[in-house]
Amino acid sequence: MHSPALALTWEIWGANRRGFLVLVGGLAAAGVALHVLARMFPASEGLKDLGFLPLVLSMPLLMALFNFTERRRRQGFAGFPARLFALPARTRLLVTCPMAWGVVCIVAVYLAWALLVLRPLGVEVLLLWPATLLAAGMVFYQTIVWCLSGFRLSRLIVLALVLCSLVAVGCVPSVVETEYRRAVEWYLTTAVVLLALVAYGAALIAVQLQRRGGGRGWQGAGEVIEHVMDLLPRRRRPFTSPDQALFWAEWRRSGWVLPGGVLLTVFLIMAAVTGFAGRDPETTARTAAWLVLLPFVLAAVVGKGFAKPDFWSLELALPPFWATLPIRSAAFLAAKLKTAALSTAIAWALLLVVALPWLLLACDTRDLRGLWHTFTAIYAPVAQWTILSLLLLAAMLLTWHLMIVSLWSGLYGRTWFFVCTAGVGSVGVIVLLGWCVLMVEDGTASLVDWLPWAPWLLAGAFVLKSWGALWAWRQAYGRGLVSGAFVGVYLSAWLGATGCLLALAFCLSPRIDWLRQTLILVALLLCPLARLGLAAVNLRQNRHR
Amino acid sequence: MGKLCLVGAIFLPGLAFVLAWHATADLPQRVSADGYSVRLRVEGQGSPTVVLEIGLGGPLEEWAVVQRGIAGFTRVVAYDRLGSKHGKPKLTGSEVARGLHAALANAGLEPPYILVGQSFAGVYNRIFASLYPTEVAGLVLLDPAQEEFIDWMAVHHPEEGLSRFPRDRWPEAAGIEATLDELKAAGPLPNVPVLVVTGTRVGQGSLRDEVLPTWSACHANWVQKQPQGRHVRAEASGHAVHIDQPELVIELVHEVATSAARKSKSTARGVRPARVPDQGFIHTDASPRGAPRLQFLPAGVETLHLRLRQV
Repeated sequence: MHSPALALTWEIWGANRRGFLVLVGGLAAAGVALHVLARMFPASEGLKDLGFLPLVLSMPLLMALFNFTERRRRQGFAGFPARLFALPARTRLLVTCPMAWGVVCIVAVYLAWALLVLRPLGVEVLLLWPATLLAAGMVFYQTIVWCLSGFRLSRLIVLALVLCSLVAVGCVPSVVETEYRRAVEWYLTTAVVLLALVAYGAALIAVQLQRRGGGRGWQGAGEVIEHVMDLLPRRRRPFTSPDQALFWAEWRRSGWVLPGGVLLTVFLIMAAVTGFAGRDPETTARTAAWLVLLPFVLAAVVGKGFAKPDFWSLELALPPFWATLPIRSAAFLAAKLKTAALSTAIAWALLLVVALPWLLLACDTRDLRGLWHTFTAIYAPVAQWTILSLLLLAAMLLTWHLMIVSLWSGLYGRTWFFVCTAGVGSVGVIVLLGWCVLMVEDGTASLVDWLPWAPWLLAGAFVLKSWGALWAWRQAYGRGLVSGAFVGVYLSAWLGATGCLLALAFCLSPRIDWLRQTLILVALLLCPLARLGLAAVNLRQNRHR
Repeated sequence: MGKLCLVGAIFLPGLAFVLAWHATADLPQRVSADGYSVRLRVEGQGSPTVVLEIGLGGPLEEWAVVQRGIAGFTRVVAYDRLGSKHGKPKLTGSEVARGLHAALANAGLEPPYILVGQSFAGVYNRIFASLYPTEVAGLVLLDPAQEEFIDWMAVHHPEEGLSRFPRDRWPEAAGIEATLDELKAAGPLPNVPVLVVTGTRVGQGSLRDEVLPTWSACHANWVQKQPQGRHVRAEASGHAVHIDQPELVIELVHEVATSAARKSKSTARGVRPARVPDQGFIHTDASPRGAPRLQFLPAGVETLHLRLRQV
């Protein structure tokens, strides 16, 4: 290499070349698919909305590619790569190079997508303001990741707050009067650029401090936090069983992530609605819909981390300490399942306790009351409360399902397998979403055409699920990975949960037979069965690597 | 364990396929309707045939309670145009009426028909009755769209009303103006019972509360012009009368069906048909699920109440 900058560029590329190829390949494939779909459905509004999805999904991937950190095993956190400090290069170069490439790439991706995909689809998008915002977002992201490297939780919270604030600021020009829009955009662009420069300066100072051996410069705060943590009540009693100890350890590591995420996002939504969007009936109805969707969306994201042996580690192999414990694989699995269940229950309880009173007391609920009135007109009083209770249970079951649905691939211990299954699952969800949007847009014609096929497709899926479950559980039981008692307990829980879902199907559609039968088939698919058996088998592979 | 797996491997797929077979067998049939297809569900036996038509874009499943109630005393067909590929950008009222006529004929459902329409389906029903006057034995219009009110809305609330429906890729919505023109040009309705139900419950949105007196007055004005018209104010109902007060709809349909049956018997005997009380008002003030108190109802209502309880 002729220059340090080139060497650093090569290092960024070399460490993430697969990710870059996936990004470019995925975007290219999505762009081609959108162009083909645009020819097939020329007047589709949903397709235009769908055009933003690959762009939105590519942003977290880009952030991950330009994360530019390395885990420091001794300190137990990921920060700016310490081995680079020994190189004969200025700190300014070490910081500027990854930051500049991050900014260039994120702006290039946005501009390419906007000009080559969105505009040909007929979507009028701004160029300067979003590009500035994305570039600033990358600078803020890298600054926070490097500066707060010693504080995993604080770093997450600050990142979430900053990114949410950027999204909110990004929406400001679209809500002001048209005549002031250009001026507001100009002021905001200037302010964001100045803030990005300040962030760049902060990153320079923080990395310089770390390079001098001062490390993070946060030891004082860290000690204070350590003291506070010591003052908090801790568990002193001995564990009565290994299962209890495993559950306790799993809960301490990852159990609070979903409830914490839900609570934080609820507060952000409440602040955004109160500050920007107002509380008229329509906004209230939309906010309520998003609040209901929130645990599902977060569980789908958190579930990917929860599927790994250690939530906070990028390593999928089971650490030797856990792998060599003299307990069955089922005990690990049971701890994960219980933690996910408790997380889900707390997340929904928090949502109900915090968001519901706020919606009812502080917002205009006329539209929601209209929906409630229709609901009460359709169902008798006893059925209303039964349906509401069962709906809450079904929502919790679905959230739990999303939390544990990837355990079978995460516990296998192979990164490529985990990434491939997650990628295939995500692509499947996107394709299904796009298909539904296009079907609904097609004036329900095609959707109704699919109705006769839906029960058979669901039945086929259930057959695959049941045969897969029988095979997987037989393997797990035959190899002694799970005990008979464990199989019995989980099967009973599955039957109980599925029974509740069947009751919901009956209550929801007491008079329309085809809808009831279809809902029953959906209910049979909702509780995980086959993949948990596979998780036990795969965990064994991971333990014996 | 092995035997259990074997039993499961056979039983579970069987269960799934039985459920799927039941579900597909119960789906509404698709019937050809003058160039496109409609979804249609027939229940009950007898004559006249009651035709249930939902407002713009709704599914026929909304009629489930009403249809099951009516099937207790006559044949009833609910239909919608969901899943229809029309091949043209807009569908007018006369095309809908001709399509329905063809679909009923193709399904072997003979006249006379009692048309029950909710919201904009009221307009389609009126065009059908004008096109095929001899085949219609009565109309029950549930909170129907009404031309006088639409004109009033165009002046007082031009941004609201029917103009808010998206026109592209929705042939019925694209044909609203043409349908209203056809309605104004259509001939008079046949001399049959015409019941118009207005959902007068307040609290269904500020705009609806504001325009409700005009909405109700327009219905009343129009009903007065019908020889056998009657206006019903359903105080426990909003716009979706068939969902809010299905019992009321069933009773009204039974009233019209009884009248039609009496008329056909009298015609068969050569006797002049008895006249339904003109322009009477029925007020209902019961809760949505309570039995509504009806006034000026013909005989046989008690029997109907008994039948409803059985339903």
